[in-house]
Amino acid sequence: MNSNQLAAPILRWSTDAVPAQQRFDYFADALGSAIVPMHVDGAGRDRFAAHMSMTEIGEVAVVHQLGLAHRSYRRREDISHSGEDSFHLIVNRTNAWTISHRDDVRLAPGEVFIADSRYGHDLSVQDGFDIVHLKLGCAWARRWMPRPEAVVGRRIGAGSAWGPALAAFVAGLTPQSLASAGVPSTVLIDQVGAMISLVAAEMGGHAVEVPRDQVSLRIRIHDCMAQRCGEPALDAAVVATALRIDEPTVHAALAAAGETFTGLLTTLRIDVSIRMLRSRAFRQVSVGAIAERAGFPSSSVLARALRRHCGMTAARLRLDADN
Amino acid sequence: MAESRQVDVARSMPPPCVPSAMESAVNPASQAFKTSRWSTDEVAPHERFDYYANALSSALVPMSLERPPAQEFTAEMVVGDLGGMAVVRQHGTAHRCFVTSRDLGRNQERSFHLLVNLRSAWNMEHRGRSRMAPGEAILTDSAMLWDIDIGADYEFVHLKFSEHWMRQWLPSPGSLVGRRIAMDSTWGRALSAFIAPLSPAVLQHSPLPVALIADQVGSLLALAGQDMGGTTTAPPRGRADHALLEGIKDCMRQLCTSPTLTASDVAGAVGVSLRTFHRCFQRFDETFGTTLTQMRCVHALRMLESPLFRRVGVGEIARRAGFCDASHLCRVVRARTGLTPGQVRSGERVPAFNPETAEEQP
Repeated sequence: MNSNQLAAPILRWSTDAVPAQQRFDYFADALGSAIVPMHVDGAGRDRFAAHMSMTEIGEVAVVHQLGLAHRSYRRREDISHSGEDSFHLIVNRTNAWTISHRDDVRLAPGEVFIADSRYGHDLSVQDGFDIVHLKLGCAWARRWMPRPEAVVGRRIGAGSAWGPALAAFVAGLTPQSLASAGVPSTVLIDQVGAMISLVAAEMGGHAVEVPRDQVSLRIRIHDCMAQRCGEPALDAAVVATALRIDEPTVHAALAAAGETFTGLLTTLRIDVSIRMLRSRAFRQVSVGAIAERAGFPSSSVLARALRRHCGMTAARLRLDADN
Repeated sequence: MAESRQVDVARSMPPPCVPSAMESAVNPASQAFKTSRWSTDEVAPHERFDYYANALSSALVPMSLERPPAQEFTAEMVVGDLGGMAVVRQHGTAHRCFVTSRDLGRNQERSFHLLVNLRSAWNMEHRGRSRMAPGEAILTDSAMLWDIDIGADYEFVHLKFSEHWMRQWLPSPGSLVGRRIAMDSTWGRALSAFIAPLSPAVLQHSPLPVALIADQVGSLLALAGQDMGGTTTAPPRGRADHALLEGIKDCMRQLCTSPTLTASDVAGAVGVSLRTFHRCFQRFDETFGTTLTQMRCVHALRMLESPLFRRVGVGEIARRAGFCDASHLCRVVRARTGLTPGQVRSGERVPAFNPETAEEQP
């Protein structure tokens, strides 16, 4: 975890900056630098306007685009100038739109589409658009989806269980909302990943069922402890009872992976504390109260744990999140 | 008369829990978490109501159940216990469930509950009255009174959170409790969309660790709370106590008409210890008791002065305002205004009523 991370700057573009005749080209340039190289044209050259803002959270760029009818497309030469491969998750919050990308797809407002930069596209918005566009680094996408290709080029809409959850979540992510959210941006981006993997599992064609016999006992112990680490009295016996196994089994399962119960519990409590310390929503909650909520007996125990874990004080973590 | 049950968990046996299909198919120890299922199909028709009343009280929190007369009653509930959070699915026919102060007294552990009915509209009374549309979510607090009226067939996604878990995600859970999380707010919609597919079965087969799903719910709740004007910016230092007192009073204004309201109810609702609670009043030379009486008095005077309440007896007004009886109301009104309730009614002017000075009187 990079706790030194500073709040990412927001970059902005607006066609207001140039005469009407140059707006399609200006927007194409902006798209090229923010997302991937492409061409923009359309019938309404005189009336065209578009505004865009972008911020980068690690390997994901969050782009918000507002504007009027146009067409954008990518040819072979655009693709060869695209640099690193990336995936693009697009939600138009207000209008229907169409895209050709491996297939012709028509999307309703609020539906999700995922594109792959290795293929061309031809996108049309007939009316206006209010789009949230997430550019996902290839490595990032592959950490959340075993096979991103399975979700590329398909409409992810109301027919799926997790599609609406992903769409509603992404619709809330703009550079501005990330900057003011009470939850750290990195946590939100991880959640996009989690939801994408739920959608991918659902759309994989076959149910990606994890046979529970194979779910390692260690993972179940981790899950249970992560859920309950705020309980100051949590110990191996409590976890054993919850999982209906005996206490020595808890210790043995952890020991097999070189972990200890108390070591793991401290790590989980530190993670929760760091999340609260970096969250705007917890700004009014004192460090002592954060320690208590995370399950530490006192703020001095939290302070020691933080110093050992990341060499930082609680105040420093807060300060960094503020910048 | 509707049939109703108040279940005494201490004395009655917990209802038999039907092993779920999954549990019987595989070794329970290999499941990600424990799942329990109750279904009225498993018992004779005349036992169904009692069976389900028992199931609710033992699996969730002690509560009372009531059903419309002469209508078939069916219900099914599946509970997946993840630790700090439990995922519950409930579906069945119309009923009303509520807690009385007696139920509250029997509740041993405080919990928070996020409720969404996917299928029908319903009514919720919890720090005020809310009409809930299908798909809308609301957060409840087990330490406070609530009353749920479900008029039609329902399908609930019900998430139960421990207080420890909740306080790691919401700085003050009380600020979200009892407020309809509307679908027209961005994060409210995202929260509802995310919890709609959740069920114990979905989580058992989830490709993600359940802890990650729980975190997701936590941060969506935090974001929805922020959307709804929860506290995100710190007040200037030194004014924190004042902000807390205002928070406490806000909460009391909503609860003051409950005749059994205690300081610990309110402290629990705003998420502070009883010690902090009383110290906060002390700092501003106020007490919980006088503030509460003052708030009830405001309600009573409003009703006494209103032509709409002309036909409502003084005893009834006292009760609605949260006083134990008419004579208590009379004493308070006289002490504060020098008038009897009858005189207030008949239009004698209440001397300029200043809450600040009124509180200083004994």
